[in-house]
Amino acid sequence: MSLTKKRGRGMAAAWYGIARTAAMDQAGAWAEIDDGGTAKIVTGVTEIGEGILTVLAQVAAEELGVKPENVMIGENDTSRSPEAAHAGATRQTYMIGNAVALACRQAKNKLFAQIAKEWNVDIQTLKAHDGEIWSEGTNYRIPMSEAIKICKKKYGVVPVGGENYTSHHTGLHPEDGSGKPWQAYVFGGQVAEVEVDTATGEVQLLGIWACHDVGRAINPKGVEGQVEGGVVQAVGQALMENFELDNGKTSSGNLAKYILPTSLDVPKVKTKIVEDPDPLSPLGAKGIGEPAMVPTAPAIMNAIYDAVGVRIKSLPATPEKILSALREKQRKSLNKSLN
Amino acid sequence: MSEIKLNLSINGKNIKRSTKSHYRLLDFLREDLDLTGTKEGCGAGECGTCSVFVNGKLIKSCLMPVAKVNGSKIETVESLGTPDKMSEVQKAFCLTGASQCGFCIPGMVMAATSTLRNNPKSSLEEIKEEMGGNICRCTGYQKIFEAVEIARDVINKKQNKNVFDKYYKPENSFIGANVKRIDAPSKVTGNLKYAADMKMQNMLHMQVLRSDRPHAKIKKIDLSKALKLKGVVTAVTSDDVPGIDNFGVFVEDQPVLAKNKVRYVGEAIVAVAAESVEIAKEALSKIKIIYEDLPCLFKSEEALKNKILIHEDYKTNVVKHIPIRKGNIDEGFAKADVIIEDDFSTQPVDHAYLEPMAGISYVDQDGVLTIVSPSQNITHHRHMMAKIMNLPIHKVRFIMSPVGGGFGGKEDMIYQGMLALLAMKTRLPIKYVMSREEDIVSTAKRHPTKTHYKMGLLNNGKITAVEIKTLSDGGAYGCSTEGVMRKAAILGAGPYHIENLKMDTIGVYTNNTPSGAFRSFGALQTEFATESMMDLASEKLNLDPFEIRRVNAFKKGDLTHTKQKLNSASINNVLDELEKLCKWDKGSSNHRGEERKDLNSSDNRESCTLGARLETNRSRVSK
Amino acid sequence: MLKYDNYYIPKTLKEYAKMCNSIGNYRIVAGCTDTMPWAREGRAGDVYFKNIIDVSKIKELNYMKFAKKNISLGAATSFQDIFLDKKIRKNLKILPQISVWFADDQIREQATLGGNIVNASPAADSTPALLSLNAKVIIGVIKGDKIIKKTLTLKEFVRGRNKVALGKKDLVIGFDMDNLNDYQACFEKVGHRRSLVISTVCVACVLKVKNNKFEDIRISVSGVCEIPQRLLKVEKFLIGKQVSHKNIFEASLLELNVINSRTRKDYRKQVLQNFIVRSILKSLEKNTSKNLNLNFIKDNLEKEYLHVRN
Ligand code: FES
Ligand code: FES
Repeated sequence: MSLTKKRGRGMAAAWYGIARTAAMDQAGAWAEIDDGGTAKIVTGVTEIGEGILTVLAQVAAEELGVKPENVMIGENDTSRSPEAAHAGATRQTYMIGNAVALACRQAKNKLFAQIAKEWNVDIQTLKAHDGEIWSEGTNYRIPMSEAIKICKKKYGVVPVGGENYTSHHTGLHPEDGSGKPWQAYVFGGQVAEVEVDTATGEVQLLGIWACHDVGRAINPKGVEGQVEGGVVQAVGQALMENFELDNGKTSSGNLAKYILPTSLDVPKVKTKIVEDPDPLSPLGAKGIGEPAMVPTAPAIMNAIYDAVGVRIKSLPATPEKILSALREKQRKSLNKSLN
Repeated sequence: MSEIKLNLSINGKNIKRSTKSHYRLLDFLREDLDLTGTKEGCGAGECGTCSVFVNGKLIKSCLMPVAKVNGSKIETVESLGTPDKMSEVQKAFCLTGASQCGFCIPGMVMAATSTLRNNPKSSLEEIKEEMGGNICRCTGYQKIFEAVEIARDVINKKQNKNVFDKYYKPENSFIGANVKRIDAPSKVTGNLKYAADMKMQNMLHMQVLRSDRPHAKIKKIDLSKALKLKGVVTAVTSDDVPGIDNFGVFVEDQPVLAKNKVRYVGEAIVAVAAESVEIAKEALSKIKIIYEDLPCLFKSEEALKNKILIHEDYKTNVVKHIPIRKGNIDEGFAKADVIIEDDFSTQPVDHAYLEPMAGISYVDQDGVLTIVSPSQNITHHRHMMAKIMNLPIHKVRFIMSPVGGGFGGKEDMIYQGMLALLAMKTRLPIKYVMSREEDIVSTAKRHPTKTHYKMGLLNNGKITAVEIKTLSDGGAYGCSTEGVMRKAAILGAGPYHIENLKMDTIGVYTNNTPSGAFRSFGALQTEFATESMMDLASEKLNLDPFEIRRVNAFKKGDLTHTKQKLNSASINNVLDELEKLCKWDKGSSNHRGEERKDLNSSDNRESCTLGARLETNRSRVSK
Repeated sequence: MLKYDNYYIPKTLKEYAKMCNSIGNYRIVAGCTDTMPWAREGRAGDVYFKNIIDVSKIKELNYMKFAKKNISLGAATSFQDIFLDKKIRKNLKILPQISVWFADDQIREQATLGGNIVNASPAADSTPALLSLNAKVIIGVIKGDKIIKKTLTLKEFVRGRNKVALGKKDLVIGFDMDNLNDYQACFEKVGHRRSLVISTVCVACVLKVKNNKFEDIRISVSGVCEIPQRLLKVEKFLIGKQVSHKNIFEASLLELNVINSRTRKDYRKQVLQNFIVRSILKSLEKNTSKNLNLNFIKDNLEKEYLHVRN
């Protein structure tokens, strides 16, 4: 027993596969360059809070040369939008992002073909960005809103595109598990710094340093948000959350008993994004949603060991578990010194 | 139902009207005034999604009887700003990307506003304390703190307000730019309508009777008294399902409503549609179920014996066993200088998305069954629903409502089937909103696991063989167990090149709450074991934990555990960057906390002792 | 769901007395922060009362009086007022300290001191603080339309888990407690997180040191036993004794048998002892007297600990 608070650090690494596991994955999207130099994207995308709509708006803006705030993304409706499957498996940026990029390229090619005609320039010289379209090496430069007017009114073409992205995965062999479950993998690592109160067994997680490969960060702030959120969910798993069942009945049936981390329980998170672009897909982006939370819990347990010399192997590391492990450890060392 | 006359000021308007006398302030705002920016995440004071000002003090409106605030001045999130005229706090939330799913955000914005109203110079520690009653499940709070600090500085003129208009963008590209979230303004103002915020004409309300037994035969369901209650329209049971009655993300083994028997506490048995939630709830109390209890299975080890079967059709309780074999572990262990063996376990965890399950169903003018719900997978739901309702696929339409957090929990189609049955039966719109308690008992959790681990290594840290066996409790229904076992197996041994590997993951049925999809899907559990083992090995071999990982890390061209050739592997790069980022003090994992030189840097937060504000001047002179 | 037909908010004790004599089937509430969560699934479920009487606006329950020796707080005083009030901070240090830990800022605006005591939860945070302040409970006993005031010590008032000495119509009017502005105070609490926390162990300590001796010390605990309690043996042992590591350590062992929680007994016992020691040390830290060599005491305490075989 003791009264002091002790600090320590631990680290852990992780890896993860992107998109649906050990089965083909696919997503479709439609794109249209619309009046006023705006864009319309329709796809069965599910914004669950990760910021995928913003990611898609950026991808569309990049590909079409419009401003991201001028991209409209349609509702996810099985009767009105093309199938893009589920929000899960860290797949939306990878699958739908690439589908949108491909659909946009089609739409843009249609517009560019008409503008090249209009200006009598080689289509290869055309560029568009941030609401403007121009021909490299010439003085031709007009707003996208103009360009779309010309395209529709003068040439009678609505620039639309519809595409699909497929990620080629194979099932696992039933006996030895061999197979190609994903085409893209990400890697990550985290370091945790904790303070353990040896009087109570309480752990305060003070800092997390997180380093993750995401392929290509479309929106770095969004990536950070995913890392920070993932880390804190893992803090819950590591230190406090437990859906307890006794003969099938829970004793954690409300948020007073089911303990979630509050603003006073979370570490400061420092994130470093590593970019190792996916060689197989047009955007090079991979994903971050799930991988973000994989290394956190072991990093915390390793840090607890560093701080006080007890290893918690069964989650969550509650104050009680830690204190009893500390006592056990003390008893052992006392026995040693007495013998 | 008795009524109360209210006369109060809401967002600057005087309101005089009657309402149900037992309403909470939250109900009055949402149901009567359609001020749905104020949300109900828990109904018990535990989450802060319902925060509003009463006479200038921030309170939780789910704990406040509306009668208690009669005559008061109420301000809700709607009073703070609109998407085109946001407050500093709201703009700052947009700037930092502080809103993810957005469900906690109106409450967070209120708490931040209150903090800065109480003390415009609040320190970070004060901000954290004062916002301690508002839970966010998505963001990890970092961007929220950042936003409140920026708003504070702008309010105090320490920072120019044009910071709100800027964001980082590389030249000539929007890829890699911190474009502000396009959905943020609707979230920070409380404008976005989640399923529970929606209303339709002639809408009925659904409530669900759930099993209080873990395993029992249903001998009889007596609805007669419930159906006689005034305001009750109808009720459905498993008998009302017209098509093939099962769903599930991987294995389709779960009926819309319990069929013949219940398999876990919280399983749905009867769904009632009535004119109000209160009536529907009363109806539930009048339904009589006669059960015959069956022997139960609560332990996964027991489940393996197959003495009791949870699903009689399957002859075994094993939902899925995924084996992975590579090389020869006996040879590998024989070569090893050290062998480490240990056991690890992880607990079931609730998704605790802040938005409890909710949805609306209706049959449209063309006879299309339509379900609006915050589902993470409407594509798959549509397929299953067509089969369950025996409808051609184009007669089933799913619309995604904004998802107030999912994390895998909203992949299961556990209530949409009931909504569909009642909409088809009544031809009226049906609305269902789960209470927090109902959500916790009935929805799937993260798979609890038990892992036995054996690792052989050379003295230089190189792993020669690994043997892992993970047993996982899948609970009463299959849900995502198959997929979770697969991912746990493929990824479990970590980002390391291992010549000899034997890995088995087994998921079983029990009478516990089902386990399902949850962010990091099995990999979290097995990689936890691996990364703990690596730390044990680091100590044993006296190698720095980064070093021992580098010795084993995958390289481009290596074969993964499933013998796939990697076309790229960034793990070494990631480890280098991480080591630099945290300024790691090298050394083995031998409990050297006290001697480390890398502790206490400013990258850490302060250790929380509470009472930041006891030391400051902020105080009140009461009455 | 809590259902009721009428919600009454009497403004005076007289009105209250009249009301509870004339209406049947009622429940008394104050802040409502315990009642509302109580009436939910998994707890009491759906509950119906014909009438609710909300006593939080009764003017006789809303007061703060500061005298040299004595301080009185009305039962309807909110925890946020306790936390923020300047005079309370100065004179009743221990009370603001427990308030910081109480639920969260928003619930504290609503929750009342009286309500927290009347619920008599074993984990109630405010009870140990009030015990240390020698608080007396002023009760309004309703006899016909008369209100008779009666005073009980807190110990007499709290009878057991969720049980208090209060007649059906009676209500708590307020609390009288010692003014301890020349004392130092410390509150220690542990749960599973740091906001919205339900405590496993709480210790409230107030003390006064003169010439390196404990002139007075009052230590109370909650969370570990059915009823929050003062540790009288510990106090008696220390009063008049030298402030030394030996004395503090010995005292910490004297009353660990108060623990009678049904769960986590071992854990609670260890934490309780640690908290007794720590709360004394922390209170001493706030003492400005230069004579105390606290670091010496702390170091020796750590050593003392190492020799214990528990
Ligand atoms: S705190 Fe009111 S709904 Fe959660
Ligand atoms: S953004 Fe906070 S709960 Fe989703």
